Amino acid sequence: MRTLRSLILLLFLSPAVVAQERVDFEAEVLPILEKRCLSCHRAPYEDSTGRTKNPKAGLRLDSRGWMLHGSDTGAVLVPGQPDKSLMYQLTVLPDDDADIMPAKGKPLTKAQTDLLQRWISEGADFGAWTGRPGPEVTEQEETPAPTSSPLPAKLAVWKALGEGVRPAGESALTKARRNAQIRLVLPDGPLLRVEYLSFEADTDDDVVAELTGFADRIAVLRLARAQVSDAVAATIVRMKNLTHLDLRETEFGDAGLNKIRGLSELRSVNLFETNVSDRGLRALEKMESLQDVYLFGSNVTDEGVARLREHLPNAKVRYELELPEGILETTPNRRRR
Amino acid sequence: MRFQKNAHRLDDVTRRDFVTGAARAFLGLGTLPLLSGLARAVGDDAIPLRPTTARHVIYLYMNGGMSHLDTFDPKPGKETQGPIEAIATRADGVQISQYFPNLAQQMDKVALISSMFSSQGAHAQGQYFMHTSYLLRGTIRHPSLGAWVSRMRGRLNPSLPAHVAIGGGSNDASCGFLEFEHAPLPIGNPEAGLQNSRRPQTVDAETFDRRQARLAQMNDAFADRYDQKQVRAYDKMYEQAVRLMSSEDLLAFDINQEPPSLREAYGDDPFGQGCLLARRLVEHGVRYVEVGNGGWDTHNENFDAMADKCPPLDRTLATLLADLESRGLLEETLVVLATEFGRTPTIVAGRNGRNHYPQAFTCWMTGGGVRGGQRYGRTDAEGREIVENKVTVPDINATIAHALGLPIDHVMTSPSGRPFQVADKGQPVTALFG
Ligand code: HEC
Repeated sequence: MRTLRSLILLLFLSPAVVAQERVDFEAEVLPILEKRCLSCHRAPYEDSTGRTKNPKAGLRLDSRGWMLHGSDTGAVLVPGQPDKSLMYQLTVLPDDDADIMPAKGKPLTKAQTDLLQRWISEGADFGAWTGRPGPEVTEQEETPAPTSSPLPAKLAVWKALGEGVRPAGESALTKARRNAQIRLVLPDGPLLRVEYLSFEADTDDDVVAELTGFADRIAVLRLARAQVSDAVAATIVRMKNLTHLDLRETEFGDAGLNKIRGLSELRSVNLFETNVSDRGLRALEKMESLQDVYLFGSNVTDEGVARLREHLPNAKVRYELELPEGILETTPNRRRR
Repeated sequence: MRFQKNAHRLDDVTRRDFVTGAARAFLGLGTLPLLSGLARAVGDDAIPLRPTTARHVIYLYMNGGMSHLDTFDPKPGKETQGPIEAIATRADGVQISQYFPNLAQQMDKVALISSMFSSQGAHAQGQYFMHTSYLLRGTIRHPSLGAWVSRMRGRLNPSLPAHVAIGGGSNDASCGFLEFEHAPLPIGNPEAGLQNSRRPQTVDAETFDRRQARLAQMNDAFADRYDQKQVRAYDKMYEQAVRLMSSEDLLAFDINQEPPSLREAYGDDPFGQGCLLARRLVEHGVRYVEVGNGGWDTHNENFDAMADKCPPLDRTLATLLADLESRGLLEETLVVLATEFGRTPTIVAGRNGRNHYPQAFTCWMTGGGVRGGQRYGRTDAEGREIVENKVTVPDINATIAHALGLPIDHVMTSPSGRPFQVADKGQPVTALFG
């Protein structure tokens, strides 16, 4: 009963919302354009001195086709979206703004701009009106449908891995955020990227251990330049969904690598300027998910790398700074710390 | 009305002067832009996310309009080609100019875009368009892409700005109508790094802290009286600048940390050293670094100029890509080489020059998820007209934005209430990825 009464009240009190008619372009909007815009935005014409006058900004508002075509710089009318339609937006600028339209005379009244806004919101229906002939069809290039392209391979992996993961561990996550930057790898999945930019000097094995509470949510872990050792592997090994691990310029070495050999989703491991040697590489040999391995500046040798490449024929193993021939010989710049 | 508007402007200037003046006096900081966004750097971004393949951009800007025929879109055997020959590269079927033998070894990583099209044939307008995707027109100033990135994504490293511009030349990397904090941190000379950002030797730590406290009091009083967005932003600058001063991240700006052999490989010139600095900055979490390289406006003696300019560029580019690759940085760093237009295929008789040519030119991208070894788009046999897959200036910016996961259809309104999008109406060239 109560709801019925308020419904009736609502109907009664807000006729504007309920009973409003759709805007009639020809009867309501066109007269405004004719009166206030077309003097500057219509087909080229000769003025009294015989000079050709072109439409300002290449914009013609005297035809349906041209209005939808837009100006020299692009669309001015996006049906359904007044906030993207310059031909509305420019009419509601503050009146001292240099860009307000019309460029001469008084601004449009609130009633006029509201009408324009409503007409665009309702889908910019021109009814039967077409006005002057529009631009040739060739100019109306097909705009491709906005980016519904398939996810790049890497992102597809994150999507798939994320499906089995519960977005748990919020309290541990909040705590870990004091020391780390933590972001989602995909906007609509539970997997995370964790990094310690600017906090490298304070990031040791214990700090990284704070990630344990939500270890299975971590897909990307960046520990570049952090103060971590082989002991950090005890935390990393819990990250079952880890795809990218970056240990650049740390004291990580063979013992650590040996411990994380069970990470079955790892795609990329960055061991640039670490303590890893050929012995450690043995641990990588069975990690068939690996696609990118970075070993420049570590302690590995030609033989170790050749062996690894044999075991992982599909992985790209970078071991040298492959400066193009003729630039100069560059030796690894190890141990600058 | 008019008076008020002017008064407002004046007020803006005064506040800015106040802040930069005070910053210089108390902190020894010059033109450090506002470094806010700490919260954003550790929280979720406010703007809707899209999946990303790139997190950083190194934007190499060839100022003046780089000839496409003489660099990356050669037409061997045609009259328009002139004396410069084409060579094969590591990418099947992709030829580039003889002046890039080192880069040729890495073209398997690079996607050339040889169907670039601009509507702007003058330098100022073309550079502005390339950087902002909008035409230089009226009173509005548009943000450059780096500023959009800073605004929409915030910082990665809470101590470092999101946006840096190295080397002189184009002034078009700018925050436009966005907050001043999104303007690039300008670095004139890469070898000097960030000037004046350490506590002066003559000020001991205790005195420094005391001064900071006094400054904080002053600031509170100021902010109480003028509690405006801008003032609060300036306030944040102190906080951030102090943070940066004491931070290890300052080392990111110091290319003297690099071994001499590598510095030499990058090339002993401002652009080479600037690229090395760009790599260091990206390594430390800066999102968007522009490095400028001038002198491409070859109206006269184009071929002599190419012989001078291309070999050092080749060396720098080849080293940069190899260095990024060996460190694992190319996975998430998009490197873009851009210019405002190409140059006329017809060689201007008498002065062996080439004039401005916006209707067809070449840019390229590598890293950050780009599939290398391809030439996207084509010009005709003489390099005059685009015959396949035209890419406009807004399109290439939309492509960069796409790689970074910026929502290209997200509308932001300028202070005057006009709607803008990160790459205007540009559409990303998704064929370059995956
Ligand atoms: C007195 C001449 C004049 C009148 C009347 C006028 N305009 Fe304009 N209009 C201009 C000029 C000049 C420009 C270009 C401004 C610039 O380049 O900064 C312009 C630009 C525009 C643009 C922007 C095009 C672009 O892509 O940048 C739109 C939209 C526009 N006008 C809409 C209108 C509408 C709607 C009206 C009527 C309500 C109107 N104009 C009335 C002179 C006029």
